[in-house]
Amino acid sequence: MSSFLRAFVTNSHSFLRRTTGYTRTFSEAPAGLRVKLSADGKGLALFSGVTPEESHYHVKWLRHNCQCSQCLSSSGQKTVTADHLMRDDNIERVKLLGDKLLVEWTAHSGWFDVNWLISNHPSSNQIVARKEATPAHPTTKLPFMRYKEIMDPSNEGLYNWLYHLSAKGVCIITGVPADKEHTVKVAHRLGEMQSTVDGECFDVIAVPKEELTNIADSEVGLELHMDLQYYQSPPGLQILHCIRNDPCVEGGESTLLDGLEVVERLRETHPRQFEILSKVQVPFQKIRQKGDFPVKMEYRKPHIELDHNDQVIGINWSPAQQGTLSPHEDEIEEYYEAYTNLFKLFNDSPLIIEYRLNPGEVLSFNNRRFLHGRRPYASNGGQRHLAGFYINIDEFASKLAALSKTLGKSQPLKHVLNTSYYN
Amino acid sequence: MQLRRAPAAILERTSSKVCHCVSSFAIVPLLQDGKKIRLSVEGEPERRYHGVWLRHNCRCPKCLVVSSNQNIVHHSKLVDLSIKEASVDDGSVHVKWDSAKGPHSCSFDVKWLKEFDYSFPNAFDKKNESSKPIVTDTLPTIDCTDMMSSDEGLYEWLKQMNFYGASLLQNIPDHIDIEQIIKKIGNPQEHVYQLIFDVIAVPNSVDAAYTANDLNWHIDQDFFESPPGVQILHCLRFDNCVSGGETLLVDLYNTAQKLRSKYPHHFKALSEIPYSVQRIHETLETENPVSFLMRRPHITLDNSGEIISLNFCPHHHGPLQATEDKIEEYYEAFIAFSAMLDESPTKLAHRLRPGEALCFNNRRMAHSRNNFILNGGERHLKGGYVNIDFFRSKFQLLANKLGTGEISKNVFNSSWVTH
Ligand SMILES: [Fe+2]
Ligand SMILES: [Fe+2]
Ligand SMILES: [Zn+2]
Ligand SMILES: [Zn+2]
Repeated sequence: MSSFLRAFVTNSHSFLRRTTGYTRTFSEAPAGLRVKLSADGKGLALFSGVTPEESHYHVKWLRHNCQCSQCLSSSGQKTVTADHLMRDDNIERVKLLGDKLLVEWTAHSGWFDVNWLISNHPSSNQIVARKEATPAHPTTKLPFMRYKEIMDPSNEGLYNWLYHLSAKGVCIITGVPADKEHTVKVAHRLGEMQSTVDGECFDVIAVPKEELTNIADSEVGLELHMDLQYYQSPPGLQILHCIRNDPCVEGGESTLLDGLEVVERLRETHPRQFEILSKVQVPFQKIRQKGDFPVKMEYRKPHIELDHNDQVIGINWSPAQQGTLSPHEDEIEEYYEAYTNLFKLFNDSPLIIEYRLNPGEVLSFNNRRFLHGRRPYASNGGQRHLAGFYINIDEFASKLAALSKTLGKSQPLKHVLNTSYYN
Repeated sequence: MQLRRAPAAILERTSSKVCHCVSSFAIVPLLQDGKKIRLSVEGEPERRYHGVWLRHNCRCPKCLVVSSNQNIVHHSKLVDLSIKEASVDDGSVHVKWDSAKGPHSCSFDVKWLKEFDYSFPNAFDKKNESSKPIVTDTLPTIDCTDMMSSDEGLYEWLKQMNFYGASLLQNIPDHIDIEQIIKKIGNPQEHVYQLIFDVIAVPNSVDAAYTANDLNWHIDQDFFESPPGVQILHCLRFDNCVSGGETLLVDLYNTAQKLRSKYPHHFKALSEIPYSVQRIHETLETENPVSFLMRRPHITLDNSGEIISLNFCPHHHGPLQATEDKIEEYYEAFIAFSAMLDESPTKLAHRLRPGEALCFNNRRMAHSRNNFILNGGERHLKGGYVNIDFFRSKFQLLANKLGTGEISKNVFNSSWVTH
């Protein structure tokens, strides 16, 4: 029990009763709602009537989140500064008025929506929120949707698509006309394409060996990987639209794997390896000297990124883009042991999904959670051509959250592995 | 982890060869039953390389796709590996391995080995030292024509931003627009507003920066995993009759370092307690509603404790979610840090003139603006951003091309910096 909680005294009931709001039936605020001010003015306690415990709020937290129009602009931006937080370090009076809680600090009066206070309590919702946001165990069955559904102006289909991508990490859209014009139409449902060192809309197609700047543009198999790891914020969604995949083309199946699931299993089976892979920095790089768009990207981070509660918030995996490790000499053997083991766990995973894309199908997945690859293929005189693009991970999460709100959906949103800390 | 050190006499195999390569005498005996080699160059302390590290970095065309610089060493090649033979001649070290997957061999340039050395005493000191940004209380300037017309000029501009965090571009001719300036580095970075945006006082604006109010110190669009990197503010109009409106900059990095030495407990709080930054625009009648949320500490550190990102955007703060004991700790630290920013000797104010552009690293320098009164005049800036990783890449490319020998400073893009 915190010291400020022990200092609570029940506020004079007469003061509370005098307010008109107290006797009114609460239409929105929970019944049995009561508020207490601490004797030292450093906090208040709210009995919501929903749970037996009272919830405590600190004076500065309250001041910082004041909902009055002076403190919160119409654009949703806070105008409270450190000066206000320093000055208003005491609560003088509080009053319940319907579903509003009026608060008077040293030199400012403001108010809160009580329901907002309850659902934004600084600590009581953390564990629930954390659990809700953790992606569930994977399904090895690919979710499928139709092009008509995702294009529907009601946005229900669009929501479902984005929701699949958040909860399951992957989804295939069928019935998309197999031309690049429609790649762009699909992109516009999601927002702006993310522009990268590879431009915006890219083609995955075998090119003559001399022109090769990426092994993806050949017929060789591709190990499971994530794209463009040498950015702070690598591509979020990856969308691959199959334009051509002639029947005579042998092989070339797409492979997909839920990296999060495998990493979580590593944590259980090899905790020390898991730890090493979250502590040793790995350089990811892209060096391209040729052409009119040379780059020398280098970004260093561990394979597994954790937050303050050791929850996985980022996975970084791209063996081909790994530069030269500059380790501490005494870490190197352990690193390679862990690295090769995880590499093997990925490649041999029973959760790998293998799918041969047909012209007119769109494969979409979260590039921050799923690894992808390709089986080698032989064109046999035919052609395999995918058109692809990316959507920024935060834009994706934002789009889904906004859509969920406007459509009144209640399914909790999942963490999308964009390195944001969990609650 | 402990290295199994055994007497050198047992570890060194007979296969080590002696040679007189380019300029000095070098030998490469095997250590620890083929787990490592030792590279001894005359007059220099010994360097050691693990067989598995060498194998992973094999330079042969089967392991490294030269055209794309992609590493295609399969994990199975790194298991049960030992070095069978190592020799040195003509500035190259030749290594032969044996593994469950069969033998393999490769030659490594001694120069390359030295560059990526990790066992030398203090091997990383120089790299770590040279990645430290330089703190200044003056704003470096550069002439726009110099910047646009030569690699040297462009490099100087990038270097000012990379080293000091900011640069003032001057004498921008009327026919040069902000997009042309940005394109000298890369494509404009996408964000929630227009790629190129106008900063001009308008009523009922959706963003605080577009009005004439006082602003808090902030970095832009901190609710992205990778917020805008370089920010460019090109001044098109700033009438003499307008009072106030100076653009302000302060070095977050320098201030965080001071916080660390003066109030370690506050530094600890700001580097451990995640706060949330949000941008919610779903109720307004915008065509594309947005709902961004990013949660992380104000200061993030790499595994050695070096600062790798600075996140500060008070007007987009969401409600802090933390255990009860952390609330007070957080607010005390937040207030102390804010006060230190206000008092920082790195704080500078500049009243932009038409034909100038203030260019700065949005991940290191917090910016703000003094209140202004139009008095019937006009103040009009155009702004745009470039991705931070791309900015770093451009700097490094040009440094290499011009042979300056400089390596990029820490640009606070969250990439780990301490080796
Ligand atoms: Fe890929
Ligand atoms: Fe700003
Ligand atoms: Zn207020
Ligand atoms: Zn090789």
